[in-house]
Amino acid sequence: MTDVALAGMGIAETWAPGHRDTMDVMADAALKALADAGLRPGDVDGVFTATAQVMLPTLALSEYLGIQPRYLDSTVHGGASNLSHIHHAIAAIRDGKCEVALVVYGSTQRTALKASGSRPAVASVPPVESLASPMFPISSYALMAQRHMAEFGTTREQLSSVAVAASRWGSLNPAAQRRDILTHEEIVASPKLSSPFHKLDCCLITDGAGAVVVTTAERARKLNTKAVQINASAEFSGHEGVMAMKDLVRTGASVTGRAAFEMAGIGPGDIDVAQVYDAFTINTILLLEDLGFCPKGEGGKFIAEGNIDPGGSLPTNTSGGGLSFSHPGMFGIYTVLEAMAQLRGEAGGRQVANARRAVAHGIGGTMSAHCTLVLSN
Amino acid sequence: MNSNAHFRHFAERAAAGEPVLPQCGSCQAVFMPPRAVCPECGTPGPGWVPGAGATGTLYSYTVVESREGPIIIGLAELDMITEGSKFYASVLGIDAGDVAVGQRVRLDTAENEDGVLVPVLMVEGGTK
Repeated sequence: MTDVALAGMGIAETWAPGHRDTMDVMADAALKALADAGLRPGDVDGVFTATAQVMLPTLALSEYLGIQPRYLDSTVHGGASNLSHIHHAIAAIRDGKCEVALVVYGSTQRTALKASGSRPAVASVPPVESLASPMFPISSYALMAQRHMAEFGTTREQLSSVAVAASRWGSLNPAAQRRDILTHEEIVASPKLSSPFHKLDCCLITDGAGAVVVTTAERARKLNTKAVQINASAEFSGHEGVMAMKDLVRTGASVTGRAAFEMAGIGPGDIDVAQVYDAFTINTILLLEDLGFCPKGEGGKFIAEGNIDPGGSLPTNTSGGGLSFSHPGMFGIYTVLEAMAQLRGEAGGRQVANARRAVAHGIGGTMSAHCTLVLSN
Repeated sequence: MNSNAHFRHFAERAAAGEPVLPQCGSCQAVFMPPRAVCPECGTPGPGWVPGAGATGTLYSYTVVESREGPIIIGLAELDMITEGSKFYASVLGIDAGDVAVGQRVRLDTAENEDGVLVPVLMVEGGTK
């Protein structure tokens, strides 16, 4: 089977609001990723995009960049979308349908929010839930958090420890939008939104764009770049809304994690650095448990003990994550970009020593879509 | 919002004060939310079973800080729901500070802010 690699990465301006159009932040990230891979737009034959703001985005971006792709994919299922694009690109490349795949996300949601008072979104409240006027999607994740507390004794302070750890990483990242280190006291003093969540349990709202280039490992070698190998990928969805979720504290990450680790021929203990989509503090707890990094129900304890902090046993969300780095909507692409930065040894003051193997995990909807990538250098 | 015919029927019956739950005509499973195909056995075109007064246990909840004050949203395991999915609705009959996982609830209807009857979960023996 053809080996596939990530040959380039690009991150657009993340400071916000930036008064730029979504197409321009997407193009910025895409051109940076191509330059990083030593490629030009004309070398691309597969284009994969996700965004909540551009109509027919794969067509629009391809024309804007002068690409005439023979493989097109505009899959959108929230924050797992770009990881799914990579998962789909692997299959397309192995099947000979394309050779150089460009995967792009972009959003100017913060600029839009400042300008119009409303934020572009791809997800809407499921119809039955709408009858109760929830704070969507925050309340859906809050229900998971409350259940986790009731079932496993997870504490309010353990939820805070997730945001504190993210802020410790963010303080080491000059590109992070939150640079201050949070405390539990500050988190529970921030406005209550949907219990047990306060404002600081929730991700930032920013502009931003990211892109990666996926190609054959052979082509990546010829490009002489710091390519990152894709050892395995898996995606899964078990529901859309939380009503259809039979167990709120056991997620589809257990399905994709098991499949990806089996394909890679390694286990969670072999991973040096983890990047999991932290839209809310409960996410990191649930995803680390379900990917097998700690026993079920013990995620809060695992994180509060410092395991995911700088210098911990499992450095996690080392950019600062959606809680401290940046969160322009579908955060998934950033889990891949930060895993690449770590595996390439380019993470500066937050570099994890000898990072050889990484996991990137994206979620979409309300823990609905899952995609896991196992990567190595 | 992604509306559909099954949801519309569910909302209409609740608005008439007669809440219903979807039930598969083949395997008899009762489930939520309403949908085109039974999630248990795959049979399309489920029917309906009366849901008023259905009892269950609060599986999780969240207190939302709304402009009008705190509102409780709950997910309940209704005894009638045989397939494992949950019932999502506003929780009434208890103060936000007293709500807890495991409390017994009963399916009822109550007026929303627009005066339309919607399904709610009433806490049995609650504090208000």
